[in-house]
Order: sequence, then structure tokens, then C-alpha cells
Amino acid sequence: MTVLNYFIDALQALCTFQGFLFVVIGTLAGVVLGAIPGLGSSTLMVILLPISYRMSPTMAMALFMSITIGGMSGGCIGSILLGIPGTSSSMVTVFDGYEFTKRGEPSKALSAAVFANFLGNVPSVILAIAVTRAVAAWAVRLGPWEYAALCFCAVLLVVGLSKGNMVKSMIGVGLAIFLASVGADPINASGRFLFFGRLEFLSGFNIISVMLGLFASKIILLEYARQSKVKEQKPVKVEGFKLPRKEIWKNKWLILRSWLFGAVIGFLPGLGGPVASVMAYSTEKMVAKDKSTWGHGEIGGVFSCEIANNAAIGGALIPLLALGIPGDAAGVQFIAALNIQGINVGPMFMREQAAIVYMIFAAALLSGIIVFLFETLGMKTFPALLKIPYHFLYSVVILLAFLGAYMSTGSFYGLIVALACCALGVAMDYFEIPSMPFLMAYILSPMLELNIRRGFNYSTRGGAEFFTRPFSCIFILVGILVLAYGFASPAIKRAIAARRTPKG
Amino acid sequence: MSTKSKKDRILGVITLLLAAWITFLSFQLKATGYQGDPGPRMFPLIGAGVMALCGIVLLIAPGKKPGVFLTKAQWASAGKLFAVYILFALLLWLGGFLIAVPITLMIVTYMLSGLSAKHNSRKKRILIAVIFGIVGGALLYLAYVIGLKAPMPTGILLR
Repeated sequence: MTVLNYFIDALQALCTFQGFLFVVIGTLAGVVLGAIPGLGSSTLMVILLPISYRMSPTMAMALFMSITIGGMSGGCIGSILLGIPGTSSSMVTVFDGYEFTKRGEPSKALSAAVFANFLGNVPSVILAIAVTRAVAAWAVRLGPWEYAALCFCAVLLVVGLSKGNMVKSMIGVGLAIFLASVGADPINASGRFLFFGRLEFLSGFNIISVMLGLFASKIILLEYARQSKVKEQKPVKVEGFKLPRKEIWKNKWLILRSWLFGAVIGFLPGLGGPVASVMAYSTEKMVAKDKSTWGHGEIGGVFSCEIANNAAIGGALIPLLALGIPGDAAGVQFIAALNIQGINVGPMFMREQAAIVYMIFAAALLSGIIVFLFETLGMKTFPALLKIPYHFLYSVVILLAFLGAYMSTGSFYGLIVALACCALGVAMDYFEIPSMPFLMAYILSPMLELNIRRGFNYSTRGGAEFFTRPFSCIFILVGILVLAYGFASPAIKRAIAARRTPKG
Repeated sequence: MSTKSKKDRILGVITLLLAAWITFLSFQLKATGYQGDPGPRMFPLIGAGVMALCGIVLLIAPGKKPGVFLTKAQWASAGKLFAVYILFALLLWLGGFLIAVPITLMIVTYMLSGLSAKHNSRKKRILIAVIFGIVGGALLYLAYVIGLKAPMPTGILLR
């Protein structure tokens, strides 16, 4: 079958009543949860993970893709109307977006953000469709050495390029490596770390229970403790969508640059929308002719971050589908959802599961269009989305999370793991250990260990093979260099700042 | 007063202890016997090594004092909700889905409705929580047990 055949098949499946319903519901639910500060569409995806095993793999992926697209687009609503970002990807949108609301022009910022979402997302998915096949064709030629080096590089990239304390990120990685080691040995399936002699540990810690505990239940626990929802919002009146033609033309180069930023940063593991939007915003502010308007309601500020975070979706799809390396938290959930269906994501994924790959692309394009239509036609309803009573929503989310944890293993073991991970998540937040490096290392650890050990087993030269094969060596060096840069960059910045500061 | 984070030093100690424990456990694992295979202990030992190194760094060079994570009252609130999570697990084990879900929904809805300025009256909050617990519980039963046919626990007391 050709690419076009697969794509047409996927579109046909999405044009059935069930397929279309999945995409529409997924997209709209993503927008709503993306708009609500604190919760985000990733929580919805996590609580749907245990249920997804009842769906066909293609439909489950269509649903998850629509939620991702909807969630990324919905994030700007909270940022612009409340000044509180719905998702971390829309954090920077607050700077200029909320200024428009304060001066009574929320529709202007929302119209720009909605159009930016569409401009960022759909072309980036088209880019992913064009590039993924070529990357996957190259990936099938990788041996265990290159694949282990790639996983190693991905984990170090997340640590090196992410914000926050690098030492603490590495503690998260170490902890994830240990927790991922619990269970059956990947080579001979003998038990490892079966605490108290319990055989439940043989299956390890299920990624679904881990995510349900680390995200859904922990987020609500901390939201409740901090009582962050006590402040009621002021009523905001939003008019209909107005295509910002003049602004688009005026900011055409900014739009292009931000899109490129998003697509490239999305491709790098673990960074995704949040980093893409920050980088695009700060770069555009830096190159802007009149910097004084930025942060005070500059439409370019809204365009740059909303285009970049949406473009990151397509960028992140490339390593996920071609190599099995998640680009962001949504990618981790995609891998978990596919694992539930018994499908392993790796270099052979594109070749063996082309129907699923093209379903993901088709669903991304369709939900990009649906979200644009919904947000343009239903813009007046945005303030109502933010008035959803939290006590109903949160209590249902908690219950769904724990029932999902039970379902993921079919026993109380999954529930206990989720409870333990909730406590672990709070402890990690307390000690400021970022969760992304932990999660990335946890999802990649089984692949990393398997390929390192295969690399040793297949080689006659032991570990030297990892450094004598060109791609393997390059990946290892890139990972180490990025990590070294991450450690050294504060000192370099301090030295540069000290040089610039005049003495005396 | 020291501006160095005490929290980082505590984390350093915890990390070192954890690394030592992982190392101890790893050395009890038996080798696979395959030629060239570094064995099952290599990977957890890498994790322990990374943690030990980071623990030492935190002990030697802790970061600056961070802001308050949660106040005492906020820790108490978090503890209360976590206790409800544990209660849910216990109720599910003892009474099964039909008992645990509506009761937990009621408790959590009552607790969380306190966050909304609209529902200040205690009576109103209880009424809303009870109605939502019953209706929500019924809907979840329909979705999980009847719709998804998911095998949910019936509870050891009701068997």
C-alpha cells in the first residue's frame, strides 16, 4: 500500500459516524480542559488511558491526537481571559494576551491566538507527514548500539535543555532508572527487586498508574491544598472572531520564524510546546524594533507563542512515530496507549503499523480544522468554559484516575502504585525535582537497557562498539555535550555578565 | 542566617541513602550467564551511581533557600485529601465499587466545594455533595460496569 492509500483509509475511517464523533468529542474536550488552568488536556488523556484498551488502536490514537490538538489550542483561553495559563505551553501568552483583556479587547487577542493555533498546527503536521517516512526509513537501519545511544541522548537532552536544577533533574533520572528496573529482566525475564517476595512486582510499575499518580491525583491534591480556585473570575464579554488580516501581514516574518522555532524545538525530546513558546517569544521580543510595547498588549507576542507551541505538535510527532522517542508529555501518553494495545513503538513502528501512523496524521489535520471552526464560531462561549464548577470536575477526575489505576492492572496493585506515585509526585515537587526528565527516563529506560545489553551481547568488542559506530558515537557525544553545556551555562552567563559590568 | 537550602542537603542525604540501598539490592541479583551480557545489576547500578553523584553534589553545594512550598495549613489540607484517597482504596477493597465510588464522590465534592465562593453554606454543600455522589456514582457505574464491562471489585465484605 502506498502512503496515499493509508492516508485515504485513515480519512475514510474518520469520516464514519464513530470516527468523526471521536475526533469531535476529543477535540472539544481537549479545548475545554486545556482552557481550565491547572488541569490540562494531559490529565484527560491519562484518565482515558486505561479505558482506551477497549477501543481499536486506530480509534484510540485518533481520540488522543484530537485531545492533544484541542488541549494545545484551548490553553490560550485561560491565558488571555483570566491571566492564568490553561497549559504550560500558553504561559507566555499571558504577558501580552491578558493585557488585551485588561483594556477591554479580549476578542482581538483571542482571534489572533485562534488563527495562530491553526497556522502553527496544520502546517507542522504536514511537515511531519513529509519527514517522518524518511526518518523512519533511516531508523530501521539502526542497530541496538545506535538505538541505545539515541535513548541515552534523548534523556540527556531533556535534562540539559530543560529549565530548573540540573542536579535535581539527574536525581529524577536516577530514580526513574531504578523504578523502571523493578520487574522482569528484559533479557531472561527473571524477577528483579520483588519487594517482600510479592509477585505483583514482576510486572513492574505500570506506566499508567505512575502517570495517574504523578499527574492527575497529585495536581488536584496540590490545587486543593493551595486553594488556588477560590478567586472567582471577573465577568468578561467576548465578541465574535475577526480575522486579524492586517496583523498577520504585518507579522508575516515573525509568524514564519516562530513556526520554525516550534517545529524544530518540538522535534527535540522532552521540550515541546512550553520551551518552544518561551524561545519564540523571547527571540521575537529581542529582535523587535519597538520592544516597549511587548508585555503591554503586543499582538506579535500572542502570535509568536501560540504559533510556536502549536508547531511543536507536528515537530514532536516525527521522533515519536519514526523512532519511538517521545517529544513531549503527550508523546509519553501515546506510547503508553499503544503499549496497552500490545503495540511497541520503535524504529519498525512506521513499517509495521502504518495504518496507526497515518490515522494519527489524519486525526491531527482533521482536529486542527475542527478546533479552528469551533473556536471561530464559538468564541463568545469562551468565558463560559472557565466557569465549569471545579468541585464536580475535580472529584470526577480523582475517581476516574483511581478507577483507571485499578483497571490498568485489574487489581489493587495498580491503585496502590498510583497512590504511592501521588506521594512521590508531592515529594518531587517539594524537593523541586522536575517531573519531565523523570518521566522521559522512565518511559525510555526499558528500551535503553534492552538495547545496551543487546549491544554488549551482539558485540565481540564489548562496550567499545558504542563508540566505534559513527551514529552511536555522535548521539552519545551530543548527549554529553548538551549535558555539559547545561551544567556550565550558568557559570558562562555569569562570566559574560561580569565582563559586561563596568568595574568600579 | 544561612542562605543555603537545608532542603537540598536533606535531599542529598536521602539520595545517598537510596543509592546505597539500590546498590545493596543490585549486588544480590544473579548474573544471566549469557556471554558478554553485563547482567541485570548493571542498569539499576547506573541509576544508583547517578543518584549518589547528585547526592554528593547537593551536600557539597546546596542551592539557595527556596520559597515556602506549602504552609502548615496547606500541608494539613493536602493530608486530608490524601487520607480520602486512601479511604477510597480501603472502601473499594472492603465494600467494592458500589460503596466506594458514591461515598468518595460525596466526600471529595464536599471538600472541594469549599473552594468555590458560590457555595459557602454548609447545608447547601452537603446537599450538593450527596446528590452529586449518588448521580455521579450511578453514571460511573453505567460507564464502567455496564458500558465498558470492566471487572470492578465487589468488596470482600459483600461477597
